[in-house]
Amino acid sequence: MNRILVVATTEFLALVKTKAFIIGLLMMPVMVGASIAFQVFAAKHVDKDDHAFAVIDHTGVLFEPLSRAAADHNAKSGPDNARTGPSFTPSAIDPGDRSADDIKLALSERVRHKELFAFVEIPGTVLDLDAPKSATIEYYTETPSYTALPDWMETVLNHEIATRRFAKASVDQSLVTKLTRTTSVSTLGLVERNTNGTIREAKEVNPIETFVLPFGLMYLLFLALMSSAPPLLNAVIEEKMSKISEVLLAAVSPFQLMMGKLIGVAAVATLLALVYVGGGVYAAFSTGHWEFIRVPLLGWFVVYLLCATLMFGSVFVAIGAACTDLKDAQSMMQPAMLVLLLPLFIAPVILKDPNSTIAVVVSLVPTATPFIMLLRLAMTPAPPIWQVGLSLVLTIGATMFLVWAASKIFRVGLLMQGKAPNLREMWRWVWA
Amino acid sequence: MSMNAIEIGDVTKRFGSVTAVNGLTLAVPDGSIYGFIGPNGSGKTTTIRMIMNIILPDEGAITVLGSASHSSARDDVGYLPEERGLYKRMTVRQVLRYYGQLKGKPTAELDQAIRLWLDRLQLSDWADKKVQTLSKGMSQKVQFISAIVSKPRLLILDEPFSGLDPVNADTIRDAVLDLRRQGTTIVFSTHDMSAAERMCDRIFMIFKGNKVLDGTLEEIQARYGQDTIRLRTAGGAAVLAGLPEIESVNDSGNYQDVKLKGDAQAFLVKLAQKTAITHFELKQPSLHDIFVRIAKPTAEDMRLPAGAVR
Repeated sequence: MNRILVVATTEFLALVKTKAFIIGLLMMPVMVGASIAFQVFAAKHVDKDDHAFAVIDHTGVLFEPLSRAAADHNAKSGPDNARTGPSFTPSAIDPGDRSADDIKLALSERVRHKELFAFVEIPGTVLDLDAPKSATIEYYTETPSYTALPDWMETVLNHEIATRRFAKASVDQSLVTKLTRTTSVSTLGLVERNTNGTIREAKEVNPIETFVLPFGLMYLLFLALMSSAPPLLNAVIEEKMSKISEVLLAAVSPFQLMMGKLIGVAAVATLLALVYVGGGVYAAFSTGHWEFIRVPLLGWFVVYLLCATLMFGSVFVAIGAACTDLKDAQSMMQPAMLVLLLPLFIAPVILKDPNSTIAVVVSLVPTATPFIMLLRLAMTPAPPIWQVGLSLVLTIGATMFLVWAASKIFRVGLLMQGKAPNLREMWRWVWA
Repeated sequence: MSMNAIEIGDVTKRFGSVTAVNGLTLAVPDGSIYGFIGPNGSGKTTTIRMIMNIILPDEGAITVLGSASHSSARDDVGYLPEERGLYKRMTVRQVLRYYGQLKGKPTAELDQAIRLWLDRLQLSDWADKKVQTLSKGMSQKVQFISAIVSKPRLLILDEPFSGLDPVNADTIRDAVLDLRRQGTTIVFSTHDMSAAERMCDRIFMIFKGNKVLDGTLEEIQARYGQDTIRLRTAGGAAVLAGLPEIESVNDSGNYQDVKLKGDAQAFLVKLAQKTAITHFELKQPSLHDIFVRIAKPTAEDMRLPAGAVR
């Protein structure tokens, strides 16, 4: 046991004392913060361009209100030198005696020459109450991916068309607005009885608690695993290549050596997670959001983090011991990484319905349990206790099997040189 | 009765279809220096790795320092592997401390031993430098210290002198002899026959997985007899050509080492009739000669397999 700790301490320090680790630890929150800030900033500020567009208005009455709405919109975007959004500048096209095709061709040419951003043709029938089917307004552009202009125009024109249709039908629009007012659905938790017998009102569901916290916690587990376990592979290959393994094996058994490494890595992952969870707890405290801190959930987090690091850590150790260079290792890493990443891809489905059949099945697969069961535990309703128990038994069993199998591969692989074995050979080593 | 530090009993190790070590029995007495010799790929390193419990024998048993379960004796065994390995990014002191701690030695005791040995091998100035900054000779010396820093009772050195310049080789040799004087049992494998002759109490040779020599140098030389003579004649090597009593001639220019089939005295009489003899010496075969005699490929070995294209 003592030797395992010596190895673990050395591995831990070797990982933690690297510049890459310290920089990664500090940069992570900075980068997440920066990317969120950038997205918010970009969403608000990226589009400040002037979009001039031509309008062929066959109704003869819609250009006027559209032009007014554009002026309002541009005023809201702020003055030209301090604009926060795009500005839209419509210009009316008088068809004269040209054919419709000629006009559209000419306008298309102007769009191509960047004189215009787009042009739109409003058919005369849009105001017609008795038209057999709803007429469509046609919007022509070179940049179909830009939706701000057509979206805005659709809203403005529909409102205007509706107003005119109501007027034409002699209906008071303000009455219609009152009659068709929509009612929203507010999502709440459940009502509980307090210990003193009073009824505690249900709280309105907080999107942070429902989605951000579970997903964030799962992502943190993934992050802690990814920044601690893969370096293990490099370390083992380096030891093998520089013949350190033989010196180590003269002092400790392969199992002691491997366990020491795994414990060192688990400690690194835990440290990493503690720093971030600690930061999260501090943030929750300082903003008064006590309800986000759920001690049992943090307990589960630690349990699953340890299982995940031991499970994937032993896979990486085994791959490192079996391979003789990084290139071999990388091709073997691919399936392992796929298994590791799969829960992350499935997570959004689970978030929508945490008790669906797929959620139950996936959370019982040992390689996915640490991620998916953690996700489900962080959500409501909590998964039934038998599922949690069964998943824990399966995961611990799988972890023990993987550690055992990896120690067999480690023992054989560490002193083996030359061609890397394939999966079948490694499987034989396990049972040898 | 003195104890044996290592007892190998009828040990066989196979790798696939290759038998690396075949029915080996060997005893290394406590306090002795035992030399392991043999050509490359003959089974030396495999034997050493089995003694170190790094690989397990397929058959037979190995006892190290009186313990059949090697893991309990492992702490008292120092090991310098043939292929040297140190953590490049650790400092010299950190590496030595780590290897010592893995042998279960307390840090304070280790630090003292590390200081002492670094000083003795003129590496004190490098104690806190990273291993990757050391020259090859220096890292070899560090590796040597890593094998002895835990004060082992048994020290196993696989090719301790390979790649060392004569000064460093002497330093290591002195250290080894010192340790032996303090009671450490030492096993070392080497290709340096003169080092083996000078240092070893007993010599063991393995060839193609089989034990071919085991004993003191005198015993081994006696077994190979006095069938070699060193000659210096007026006629030189040319006069020896075609003589039926001669098995082989090793011509060194000024003199010839001749291996005879029959009696040396009769050969001397016959040769005196042919040429003037200025030097005639009955010679003990050196370990080098014996090694070469055993390991030199025979005509049989050299023959190309049937159908091979030259």
